[in-house]
Amino acid sequence: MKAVTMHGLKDVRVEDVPRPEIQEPSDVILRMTTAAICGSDLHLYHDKMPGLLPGSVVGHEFLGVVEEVGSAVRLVEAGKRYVASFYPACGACAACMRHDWRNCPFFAVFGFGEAFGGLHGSQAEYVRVPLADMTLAPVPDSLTDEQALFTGDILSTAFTGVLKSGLQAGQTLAVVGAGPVGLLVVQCAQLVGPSKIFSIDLVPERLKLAQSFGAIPINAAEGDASDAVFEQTGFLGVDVVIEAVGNAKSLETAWSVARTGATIVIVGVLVDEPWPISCGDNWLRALTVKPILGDCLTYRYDILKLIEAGKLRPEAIISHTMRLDDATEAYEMFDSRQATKILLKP
Amino acid sequence: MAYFKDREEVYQYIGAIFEQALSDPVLGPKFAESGVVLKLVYTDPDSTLVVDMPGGKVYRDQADLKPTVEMFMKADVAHRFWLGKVNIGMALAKGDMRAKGPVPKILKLVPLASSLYPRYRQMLVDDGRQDLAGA
Repeated sequence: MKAVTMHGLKDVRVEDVPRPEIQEPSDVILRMTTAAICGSDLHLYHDKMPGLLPGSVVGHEFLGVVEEVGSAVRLVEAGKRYVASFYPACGACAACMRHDWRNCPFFAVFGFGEAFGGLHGSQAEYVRVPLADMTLAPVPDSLTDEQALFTGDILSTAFTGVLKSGLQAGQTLAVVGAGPVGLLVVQCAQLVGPSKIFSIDLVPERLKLAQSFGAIPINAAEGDASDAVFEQTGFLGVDVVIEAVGNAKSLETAWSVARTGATIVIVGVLVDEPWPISCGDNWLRALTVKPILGDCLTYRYDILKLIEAGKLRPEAIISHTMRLDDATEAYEMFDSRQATKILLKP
Repeated sequence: MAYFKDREEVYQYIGAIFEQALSDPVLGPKFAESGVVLKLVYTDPDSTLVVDMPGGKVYRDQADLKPTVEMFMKADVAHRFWLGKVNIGMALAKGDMRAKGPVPKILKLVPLASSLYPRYRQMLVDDGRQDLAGA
């Protein structure tokens, strides 16, 4: 079968690899119908993520039709369409009972290397999905692939970020980054009713999209973003910041726009970036900082209902749909910000 | 109505108290030890001071120095600070002041600055500016 493989710095290939097989009774084999390139895949593309073996199949945002079902699978049915969580969890251990998925002994991330469980990725024609009853959620017939796909990763990440931030109606929010996650954060935040949402980015096209979702665009390429935020918040800074990029500069921006006592939620994937201010400065400013992992296993059903109700429009961020065969070009386009969000189809 | 009628008055009084601080035989070395280059951007009236503590100099408007911390406030707030009537932590939280850079470095200087409050008031009185001294 065809699959997207990573071989080192900016070395993405589409290769023939063995079709996956059921290894555990709780597995299913899913025929991918739509996958996405996630911003976090760029960490792999830039060879920044430790533990990815050359030739690994990458990708963790996907949706498709189940082809084969393991003997212990009870809920998932062959022939039906499902969206996958980007990480499996067993759903039965003590950690899963408290929705602490990262401490599940079976936690892993699709296509993110040995440091994250060594699961093969989903930018492939077929994907082995472990613990399928927990990992997969059925897609309502009323939703297209494009509408449901991001439930398994970036939309649930954005949704979790907003909920964990404690954002309340009337408060002010700054979203650092108007990439796919940042744009969806803007959409999710609107469900709560903040008085102002600032969207900070360097790419005018992305800022226009954020503006169309109701955000106040701030182009950080044109000046210090914190100046613009402070001018429009009565010199206070914002109540909540959601950092949705995942690099040192964006962390600095996030801290620079926060008011005293603000909450900063980090949803961007970080590797070895330093803390942007001293611990003492953080304490003096009484900042609450929450790095989060998107909780798709908890929120995906609610999110699917919000999409069905027309209250979230995740498909609006899709800029390109390309063939799996063209993944090398797709990665180049996404990395150079020529594309906001790229889907791959077999 | 603002306390200072123009930027020259800002420099005349706020600039002067910083100059006195840096040239003070006891306080000057302590300010210098901080290593801080403080840029103060005032509004109403618009004016800027750059306080080079290690260099012992106060520049009006701009200076070719990279500030350690930048602070933004109305000139009224600066005036009231030197009269001992502004709590910096509270002012930052309320949006009366804004800081870019490490706030702890500034807070460490507040005790030094506070010993100059009487001198600032006396400077105003000596200059016949009871209107400002009694603000």
